[in-house]
Amino acid sequence: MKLHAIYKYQLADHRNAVLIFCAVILAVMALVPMQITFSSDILTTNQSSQIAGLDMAPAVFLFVCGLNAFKENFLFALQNGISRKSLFVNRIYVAVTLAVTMALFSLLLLALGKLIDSPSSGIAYSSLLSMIYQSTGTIQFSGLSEYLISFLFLTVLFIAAQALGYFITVALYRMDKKQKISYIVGFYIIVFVVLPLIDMFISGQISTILLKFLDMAMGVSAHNPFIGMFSLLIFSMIATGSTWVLIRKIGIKN
Amino acid sequence: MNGIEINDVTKGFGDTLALNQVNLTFEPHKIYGLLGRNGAGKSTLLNIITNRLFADSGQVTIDGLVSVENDMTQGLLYLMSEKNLYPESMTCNEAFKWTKQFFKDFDLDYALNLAGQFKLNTRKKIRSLSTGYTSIFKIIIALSVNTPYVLFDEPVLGLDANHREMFYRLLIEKYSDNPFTAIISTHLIDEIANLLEYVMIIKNGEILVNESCEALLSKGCSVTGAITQVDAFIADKEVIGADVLGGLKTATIIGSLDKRTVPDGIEITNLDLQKLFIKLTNEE
Repeated sequence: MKLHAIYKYQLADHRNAVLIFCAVILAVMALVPMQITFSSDILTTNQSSQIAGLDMAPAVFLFVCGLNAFKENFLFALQNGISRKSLFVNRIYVAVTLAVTMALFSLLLLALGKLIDSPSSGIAYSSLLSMIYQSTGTIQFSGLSEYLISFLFLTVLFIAAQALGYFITVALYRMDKKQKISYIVGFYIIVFVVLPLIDMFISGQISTILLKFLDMAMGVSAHNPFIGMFSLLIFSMIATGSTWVLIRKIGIKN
Repeated sequence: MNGIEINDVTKGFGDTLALNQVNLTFEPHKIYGLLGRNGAGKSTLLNIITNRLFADSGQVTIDGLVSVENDMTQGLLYLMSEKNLYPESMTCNEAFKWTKQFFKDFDLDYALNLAGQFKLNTRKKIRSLSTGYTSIFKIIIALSVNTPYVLFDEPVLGLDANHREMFYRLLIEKYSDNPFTAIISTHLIDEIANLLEYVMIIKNGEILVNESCEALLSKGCSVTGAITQVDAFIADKEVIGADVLGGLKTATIIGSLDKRTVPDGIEITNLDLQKLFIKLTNEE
């Protein structure tokens, strides 16, 4: 009963945010054809409006959800006699539930996008999957397989986004104020100042290596989304495992 | 039922030793007073019992089962802590409803009834409650949760005298109707002295006193009378505190007293727990 309750509680914590997010995205989807219909310029000049990678938005949203999913839930769980293990296991269930829900929502967007995607409407819709893996035109996703692969890819991507957000928030909770400031400032300095500077001096070797690594890990050049799914799954497992190491001995702070 | 057993529990924070090899047993269906000065280790002990902190060494068992990361044993406990662990954006009503989800014996009707008695607006968000009403909100849950062990850490923080009186009355009523183990950690010793069956005093992370309130209070008494008369009477006795009001003096003494030796005009009453506490916990 209690384990069911902590699952329900953590899920309910995201309910309003998810509903608002979906409403906003649907509104955006609805506004694009309306804007084109009422815009005489586009119709006369035969320009098209492109909706691309809209399903990346849920990944960002779920990353933020992950960032906000720890402190309050942890304290509330302790108040109600829930162990860290049960909280953590149920957090994984919640993350999977949210990922599946948002992946289904993204499929709905894909279906809507395909409905409005035509030269006559002046709208071109491309999903994240086709943007990443179909850019060279050597691979075509279509029909049921497109929906199935998109669903699997997005589900894994959304799980990874939440796992990363949750790991960051748990790590920050473990730190005291000085450590938090040091890590956050240090991260920004290294990522946005030091690395770009070094990269500039060594003719972009770092960025080339990073891009090559990303390309290989995500199977972009291989046009294989399953390589990407596998890498995201491994990443999620590493992030989740690291989070558990941080959570298992965590205590309340004064 | 074995109660809550604390075996050799040690906990440190940096250089500070908050608890040093503490051994205690809280038996079922008794009311305990957990007393100690600020920083003595009371809250740390309660937090370790309820899994909010981990002990560096030692073990806590609840009804014979190890309590660390154990959902089953933790379901037998409820800690009303000084620190609020409820989400601040939650309303009191929502908190009651969620508590019902976690504790099947939580009495929602009783909680709403208590909220009415305390005049707590349950539609308010927790963040908008005053310090006193935040304590009341937590007291209501603690009194309605119906777990075998309820731990109160500074339950009357910010409460006015009327609400404090009400809390003590409700606690006794609840205990009489359905006995449970209550562990009360508070600084208002005088107010709870009559409620307690057992007293545990912690000093610098170690248990100084662990005995029944009756036995503890029988170790001394208070002597009241005219100043000169009291002074003469207590001259050869161990005095742990004295108050003078007008021409009257009240002295608290330790040790047994032969009532036949008490002169006329001197009144003997029970030992004052607070005075004894001050004496025992004063840093020498």
